[in-house]
Amino acid sequence: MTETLCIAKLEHMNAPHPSDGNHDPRRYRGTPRWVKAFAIVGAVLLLILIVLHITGHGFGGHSLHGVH
Amino acid sequence: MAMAWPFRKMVLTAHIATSVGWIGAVAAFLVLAVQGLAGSTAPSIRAAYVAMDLTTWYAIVPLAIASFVTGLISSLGTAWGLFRHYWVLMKLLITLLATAVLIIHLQPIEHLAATATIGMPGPDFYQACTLMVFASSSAIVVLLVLTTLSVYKPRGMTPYGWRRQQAEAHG
Repeated sequence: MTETLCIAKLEHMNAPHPSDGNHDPRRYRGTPRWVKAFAIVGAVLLLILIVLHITGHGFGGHSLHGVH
Repeated sequence: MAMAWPFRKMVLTAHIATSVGWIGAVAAFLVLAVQGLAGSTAPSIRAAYVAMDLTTWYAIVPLAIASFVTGLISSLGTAWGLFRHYWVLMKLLITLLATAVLIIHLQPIEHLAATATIGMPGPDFYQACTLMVFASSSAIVVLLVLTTLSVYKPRGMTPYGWRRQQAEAHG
């Protein structure tokens, strides 16, 4: 019985919240701020990575021919 | 499609184990990369690069793939879904990107190990070694972000998730 209760509690903790950020279930509240922040940081990092590769500072730009 | 409870827990356990293992394997790679860069003797530097290659092929790559696959099964088999919640979607995108970056760099890692075994390294080699340290440190940060997302599960539904929820609520 206790085990069943514990499992039910754990399942509840791991399950998505019914409204999950949307307080009014009839209206979509748009993209959360944390997602926008993640997208901006991700785009900047991706841009840096691409620039590094293009300028030959990435791994792909190293021929390692100087190694003897 | 919801999975049965025992199978769901089994997949989740596998996902946690492989994800944590992935971080551990990258941490080991970082230690070897630092040794390769700062090692005092040629044999120890060579050994570090050979070990880095082995760690990549036999620990990092399998764990990354296993983490991706178990995460995919886990999300599709539960109410979270794959495209319903932003945190799941974000994890998927970051994992795909991290795996792609890893695959792109497999050949240079292999080349570095091969170069280390044949002779004394030149200046290009040390530049590549520095980048190895930078890349593995960045990978650890990215993997910790993934772990944080899994634990905190920040709220926010995608438009698709919201539409699905509305459709389910109204039968």
